[in-house]
Amino acid sequence: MEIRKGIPVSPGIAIREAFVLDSGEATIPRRVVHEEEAGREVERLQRAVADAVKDIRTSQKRAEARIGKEHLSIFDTHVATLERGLLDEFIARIREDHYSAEYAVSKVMRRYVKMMMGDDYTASRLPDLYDIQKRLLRCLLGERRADIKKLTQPVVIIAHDLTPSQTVEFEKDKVTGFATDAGGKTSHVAILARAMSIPAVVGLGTITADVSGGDTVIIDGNTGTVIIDPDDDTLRKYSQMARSMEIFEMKLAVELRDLPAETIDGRRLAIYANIEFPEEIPAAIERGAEGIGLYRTEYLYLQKGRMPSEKEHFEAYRWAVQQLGNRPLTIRTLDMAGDKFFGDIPPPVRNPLLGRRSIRLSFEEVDVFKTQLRAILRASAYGRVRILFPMITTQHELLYARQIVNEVQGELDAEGVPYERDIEVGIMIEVPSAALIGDILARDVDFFSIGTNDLVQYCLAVDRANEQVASLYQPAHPAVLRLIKSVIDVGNRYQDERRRGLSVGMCGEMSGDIAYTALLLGLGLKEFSVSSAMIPEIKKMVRSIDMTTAREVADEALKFTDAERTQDYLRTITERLMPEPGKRVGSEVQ
Amino acid sequence: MQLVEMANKYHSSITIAKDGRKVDAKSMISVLTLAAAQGAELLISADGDDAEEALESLCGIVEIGFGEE
Repeated sequence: MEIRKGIPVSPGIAIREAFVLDSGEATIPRRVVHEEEAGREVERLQRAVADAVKDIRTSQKRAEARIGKEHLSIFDTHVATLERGLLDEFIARIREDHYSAEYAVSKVMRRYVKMMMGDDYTASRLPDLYDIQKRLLRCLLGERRADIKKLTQPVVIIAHDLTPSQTVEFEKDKVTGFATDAGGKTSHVAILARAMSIPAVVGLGTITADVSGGDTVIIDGNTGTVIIDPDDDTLRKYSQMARSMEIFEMKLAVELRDLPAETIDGRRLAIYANIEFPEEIPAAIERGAEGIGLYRTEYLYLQKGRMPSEKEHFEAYRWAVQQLGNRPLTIRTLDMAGDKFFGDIPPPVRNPLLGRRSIRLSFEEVDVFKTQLRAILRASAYGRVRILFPMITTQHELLYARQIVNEVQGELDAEGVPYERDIEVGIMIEVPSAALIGDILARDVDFFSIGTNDLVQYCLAVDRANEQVASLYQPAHPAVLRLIKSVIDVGNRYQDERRRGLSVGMCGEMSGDIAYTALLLGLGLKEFSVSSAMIPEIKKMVRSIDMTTAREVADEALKFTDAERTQDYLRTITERLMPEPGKRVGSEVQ
Repeated sequence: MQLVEMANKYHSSITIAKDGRKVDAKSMISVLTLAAAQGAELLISADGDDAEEALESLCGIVEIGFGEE
């Protein structure tokens, strides 16, 4: 049994066999087995060698058919080298040093590689050695290495880090938890895990080296603990915990699902869900979501390895909106850095977060942008669809984006394709410049959505994924709170002046963290968009507060001079208001 | 290494010995560890139905310096 501590980013407990995702090249962890397991490792190795030999023979036959028998002694050489040179050495390492089979192989091979490198003549044969090694490791790992796209049983995913393009390939109903070496509270895997309502722990440093595929792993997303090969007692303890938590959550969800998100004194709020995939919608509604406040569409671009067609966009959006009845579906247009899919090898960019990304990219690739907008507009004929533009920093950008929407509407009109003419258009407020000119931007939108993750990052000049400065990422920083306040104020003022009103929502991590609920209510926020797992808890929090208290909390919180004190204050208040939180993760971590 | 590949063309089991240490001539790794420097004396033995041909061609390779010089 081994215990590792990381950053908890999505609550819950998962206990499953590990599926270790490597980045292509097999990285072999240094792993030692118990003396009594050595025999089993030797057997594994022998099986793998037999498989590798079979593999080599198959290649040989195929080559024979193509080029004839003459030049194929190389295959015999590989077999002989494996069976009558290397095998004994691998076994010796397992028996004497108790290495795992994989580690014994990589260790022995490394020694020979070094030996052969020392001499020009032998160095020319290195490719043979690599070939043998690769084949053998493939056989060795293959036993436990299923295809991520075809998981047959539920697993927890262990990875260095996860990219959106990797996660779109998952069989989502088989993935029950994540643990990664890298990442922070707002990394992709964190967002995905919360969207999927499964536990996740990130920032574990060496978890991919510590866990082998098939190990039983406990991921405790409440505390950030990951336990490898738990003993019976630990396993029993965690199974019980997982079960009682599940029951608690179900009760909470059932109890709250049909109750309005309303403060004690009757202020009604909207609680929406953030989603990554349309398939999450039924579960979100089940948990009480009154709509989708943020539908990230990046997966459509990452899934196929090419640009999605208008039909693919449209079908996804229409399906989504049809699940929702009259509830709103807020579709955010592409919000991604260009290097993810344009061109093969991206040129290195000094500051990618300040570069050509998101709406800037859409303006450069107008055709791609228009394809998505056409599909969004067409879907608006089937329900309540809202368009959300990311990363707006100037009025010009907003007007240009709206102009493109107008052009697309003109095209649809000409073609006689139906869509909702009065479709609501909003922007993400996620750059300080946008927050500061909220009054200017308000004139041309129907709604704002405050994206706190980026807003904090851009406001405090902290790359949230950079571990060296991660501690400086402080949502409670007075500068951040002032920006949020000014945006909400603008929205609430406009509500009086404009006939259609201007709603302000928040879809970042802050809105899903109960430590901030009272503060945000007090500041006048009326729409919370959170990962669906957090909905019952946020609702419960809202229902435990009255507006007078909330305003007091907001006033108090804005008086502090630094984030730590604000944080402490909010934590105390939260505990007082809701002494029995179901599962707390947000407020424990920065 | 050409010697190893040549050895693998024959069915016979073939060994190389140097200074009393005997290894499988068909395994790259084994021959590698023999670390035969130039001028070293090697004893090649073969056992099997094509042993004679094997010895002939292998000795040929060794005499011309593994065919590499």
